[in-house]
Amino acid sequence: MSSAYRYLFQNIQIGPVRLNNRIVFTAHLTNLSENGLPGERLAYYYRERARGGAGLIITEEQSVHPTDRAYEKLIEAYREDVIPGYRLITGMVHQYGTKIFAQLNHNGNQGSSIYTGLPLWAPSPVRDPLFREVPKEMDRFDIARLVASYALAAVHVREGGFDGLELQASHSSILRQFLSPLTNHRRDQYGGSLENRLRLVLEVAAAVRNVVGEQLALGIRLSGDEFTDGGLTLEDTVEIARRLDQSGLFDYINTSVGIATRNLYLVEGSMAMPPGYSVYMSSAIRKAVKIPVVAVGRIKDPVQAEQILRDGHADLIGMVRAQIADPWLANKALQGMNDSIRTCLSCNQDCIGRVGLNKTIGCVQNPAVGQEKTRGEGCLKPAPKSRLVLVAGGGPAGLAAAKTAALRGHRVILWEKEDVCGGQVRLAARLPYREEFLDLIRNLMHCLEEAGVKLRTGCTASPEKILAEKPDAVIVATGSLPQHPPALASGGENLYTVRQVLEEEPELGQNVLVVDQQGFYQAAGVAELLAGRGKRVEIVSPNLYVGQGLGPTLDLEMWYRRAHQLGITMTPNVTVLSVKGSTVRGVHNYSGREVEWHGVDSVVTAAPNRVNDELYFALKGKVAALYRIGDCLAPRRVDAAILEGYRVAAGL
Amino acid sequence: MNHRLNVLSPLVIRQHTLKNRIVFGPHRTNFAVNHRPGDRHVGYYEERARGGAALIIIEGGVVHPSDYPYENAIFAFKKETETGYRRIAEAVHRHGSLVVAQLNHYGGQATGGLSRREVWAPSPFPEVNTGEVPKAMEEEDIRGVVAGFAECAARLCALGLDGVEINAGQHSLLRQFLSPLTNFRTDAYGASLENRARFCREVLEAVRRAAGPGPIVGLRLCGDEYAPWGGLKPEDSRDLALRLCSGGLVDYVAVEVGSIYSLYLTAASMCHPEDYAAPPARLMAQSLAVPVCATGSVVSLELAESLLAEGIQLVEMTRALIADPFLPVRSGCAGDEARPCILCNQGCFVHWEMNPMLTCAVNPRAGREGEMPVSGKPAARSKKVLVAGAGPAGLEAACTAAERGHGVVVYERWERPGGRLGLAAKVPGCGRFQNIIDYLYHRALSLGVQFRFGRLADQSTVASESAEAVIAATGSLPSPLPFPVEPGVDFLMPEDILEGSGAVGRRVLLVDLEGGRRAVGTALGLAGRVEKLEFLSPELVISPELVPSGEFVHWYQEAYQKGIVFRTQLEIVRATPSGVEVLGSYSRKPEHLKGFDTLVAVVPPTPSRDLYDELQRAGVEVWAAGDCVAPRGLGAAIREGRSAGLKI
Repeated sequence: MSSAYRYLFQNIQIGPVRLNNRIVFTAHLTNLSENGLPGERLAYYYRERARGGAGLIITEEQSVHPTDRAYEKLIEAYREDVIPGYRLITGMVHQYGTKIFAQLNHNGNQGSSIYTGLPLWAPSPVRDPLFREVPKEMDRFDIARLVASYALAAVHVREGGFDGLELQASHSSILRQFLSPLTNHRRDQYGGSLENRLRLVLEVAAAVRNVVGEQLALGIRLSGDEFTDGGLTLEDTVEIARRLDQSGLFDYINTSVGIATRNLYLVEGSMAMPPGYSVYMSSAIRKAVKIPVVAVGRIKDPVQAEQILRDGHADLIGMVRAQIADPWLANKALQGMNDSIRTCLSCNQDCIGRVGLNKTIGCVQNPAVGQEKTRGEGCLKPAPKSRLVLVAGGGPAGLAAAKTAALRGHRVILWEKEDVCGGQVRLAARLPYREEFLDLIRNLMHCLEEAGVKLRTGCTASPEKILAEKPDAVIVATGSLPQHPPALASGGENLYTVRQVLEEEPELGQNVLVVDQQGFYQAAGVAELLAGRGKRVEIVSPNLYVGQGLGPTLDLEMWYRRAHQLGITMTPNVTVLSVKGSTVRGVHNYSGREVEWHGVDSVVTAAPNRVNDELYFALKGKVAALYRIGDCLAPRRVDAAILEGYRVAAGL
Repeated sequence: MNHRLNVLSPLVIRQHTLKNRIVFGPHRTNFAVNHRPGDRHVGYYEERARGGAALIIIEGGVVHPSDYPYENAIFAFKKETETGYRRIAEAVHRHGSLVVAQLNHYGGQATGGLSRREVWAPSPFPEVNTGEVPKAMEEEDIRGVVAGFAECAARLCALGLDGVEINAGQHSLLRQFLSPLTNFRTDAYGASLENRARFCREVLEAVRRAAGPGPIVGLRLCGDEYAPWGGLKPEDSRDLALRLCSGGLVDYVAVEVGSIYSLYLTAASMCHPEDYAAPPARLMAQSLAVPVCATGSVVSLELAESLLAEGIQLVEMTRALIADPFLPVRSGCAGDEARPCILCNQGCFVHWEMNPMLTCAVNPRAGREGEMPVSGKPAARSKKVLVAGAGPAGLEAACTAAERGHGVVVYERWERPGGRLGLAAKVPGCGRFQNIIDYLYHRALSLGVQFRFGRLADQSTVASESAEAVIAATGSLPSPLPFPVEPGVDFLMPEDILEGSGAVGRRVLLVDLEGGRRAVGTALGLAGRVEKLEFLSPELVISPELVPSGEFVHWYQEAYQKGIVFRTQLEIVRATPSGVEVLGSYSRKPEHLKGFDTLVAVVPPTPSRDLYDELQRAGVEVWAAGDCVAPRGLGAAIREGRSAGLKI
């Protein structure tokens, strides 16, 4: 055992189950199911984290009843044909000594009837703020059916070979809806007093325990604090935990925060949230119970995890995004290879953002996510013939391509016109609360030269220089260039792009208008940066609200609060048409009325970049194997850059 | 004279005879399984053929691997789709109808979210809805897509389909090339009309070559992009059509409207006139030698007829046929009324990433033809059934039960049928909701259902009517206000305004806690009648429920142009005699909104199910349907009404 860790790699007993270490890959949505069933894709996803050394894996939620299909890809645990998929998963995970529990759940009113045509079930007919559908107030028959359905699902879980079960009573769950006075307005024996509100959870747990006996571990996940007026507070949750512990039905308690459909930004905190932001909750609960408690909440690295254990805040550490980004985190930590861990950024773009939009889970840094069978560790095979590969551009696309090609045994030369690599990611990291983006560059640069990449920084790749090398393949990753929105293309003295502001730090006037055509962090971040320096800032956007793109990554709420504190004015629904000196003109998209600003000292524009494809077209037809990747193909986000870099190099 | 002569008269295209002029147009269904046409497709299209549509156009198939527009898209470029296409062709042909497959490439209107690669478009400018920057297609890309269209056409025509349709309408790469709104190329494919038409022309030539002279090759064009600048206008589209149709490449032209700035206009809601898409089709019909097919919201045979009288030769009645597949057959039988499409778009609009399968709010069988019978089996024994509530759930339940041979009496507390849907129909622009009420009510009357209006059902009426079974369809009520209201402060409800019963002052504050059409519709009903009208919402945006379909554009335009002042992101703390105290959702700053003499609150509904609970306790056979189970919408009400009527 590595001497750096006294606690993280200690065994622990969870009911009947012994774990090798304290690192848990806790439940999270993946959208990797197939027609409502778990399949090979999900099995390989979990297997990869087991190979990488996680002590315990808890599956994503498994729906116990047909009235719950909160989203299209929800796995239906009440179907008997779920068992073969379960066996596939547990068989794969068990090969590596990792234990695996299944999480059972019903989302209650936090769902939609669009897939089922059935009314939603909930304690009371209270509409969820996200799904906006009034549910059916469950009658006693419904409650009995729900309890029985948990028991049936538990049978399938047991037959599927799992080591344990977890009941979700946290951020998106009917059990929490019964626990919370916010959603439980019942006047029968399931509502009112805490004892009554706990009744359903205890009935479900007893029914499940009755199925699995003492052979399987049984846990429960609680939301530490609903952070909503009239909802459960940490004090309430500690009391709930104490009573659940006293029931003797449970072997551990897992934690979470908030309500997924009301304040998801607290459930899966972005990089604007402090690391370990909800550890104080597991800490409070742990003081009140005897069974082991799991801490979660942006725990990104093994040293941080070790410290939480050492300080007694928890017995186990949930690390989800950290192990999405690097499935081998546990083994690397154990072997003292912390430097080679691909640290999660908490950017939330492809894990949370994609899943929220009904797409399969991904990771901006890890192109293997969801494709572990073909891209997991060991899948990258040496190239049949080592070739000379030239990569033009050391942004994320070029770096990913160079590293991947070199790992396969190609001779790789990377040309970067700047003195340092990283491209626009370096600029993105200069925005407030975005500095963790620098980890992305660090991760890509790590061992780049050991992998055999010859770096030529401060060196522009011209067609002549490239052709002179007589390369076997050329990968063009020359990125993109800033531009103003088409209406302002002619520019002006007081007109700057976001990139200019970040790169050149020009002296701007007091009154700044930010013209946003993107809706993501470029405008929002630069506005915050400038307002933080004392400027009077207004953002104008043609969208329905400013910062539309901040929603999927869960940055919106926190940014809005900061923006209000900084006095940033937001003007949505307006298209800017012209800038003449200090006068800016636009039009309201719906009223058609003209909008005018006077006394604007500086205008900062955030518009999509244009491709920098000159080199590509100069080389087209002149080299046998020519590729272009990332922004110089089409300016998008960093996930596309890294994925294309990997994909092209993996196929060389 | 038979005034249906035209719509039921045949039309010959090449050697194919369309038995009438009614077309079931292409539309996304999300029915595909593993990117192949599935069982649902077969049942769905066969039903429309059985009901008499002359021509079925299958939802757009993807022609090239660079395009992955939505998760359940049919990948026509894959050979594995052949079985599904063949099954559809056989099913449709069994009923004497024709079937063509639409072929498409979404171009820049797709995203890389599913394909995880770049999207292709004529020019590298961000798409206005997705914001995604595409790659400007290189010449070899264009050649690849042309070949993709041709290969798919050859394969599908050889399978027994009657032809293909090339999409250059909404959601298409070809329109993006045709339009100066999206095509900024400077090569042979951009700038002049001739150049912008080149790609589409190359596709049509290749498709005709590949398909041979027999099959139908149709072309779908956007007749008017309704763009704020630079978009195609009807005259531009006509000129393009003339160029594209020359040389006998094209056998019919279907004319849509709407493009990137007007997605909601391609299958517009009931707020728009039924013939809103007809003008460019009329213009084309005057100039083109080939038949022109009108599209849009045609749901009545009267409009279809008048379009035909204007020289248009085919009429798409897609949504009308979703609501009632048998509309064409019924049109020949006097007195056989079709179930009306009300253009509500609640179930058939499936253009969003959550991939719901197509349904129909008024027709629970749509898309489920294989699992649900057309009508219920006759009841084993005729019972006396009492239905409580004459909203859509109660009316549908009454019809279904009566059809099965039960004796049905309906109790309704109001003096009219329709329930809360009747109020929805009073929102400006939403009058078509009344059509489904009228249809169901007349149908119930014709089936011998008795109505007792102005009477509330309770346990004693169940006894006095000697009812053996009860269907509770008692609907919903407004939920209580979720903030404290000081004494002396009164809120009006939308119904007070829509029915004209509330006394409205001069300065109105409307508080929307629901987020749908009702609040903005109520506000529009007030606009112009009052001095000051402010609309308050705790949400990020006004009427978020209208955003996914794009319908919000219409409502926002109306509301902003009428001077309604919107205040969003404000939570309501309490209502006092001097106004409403609010708190900024993000600023957390308090504010007191004052100076109003009328307060209106729009709140979500809460179920009204006392009768059901009471009868259940009393041991009466009782079933619940619609909003009294959980207030959702019209689709759930009709579906559950039908299902309750089948259970007794």
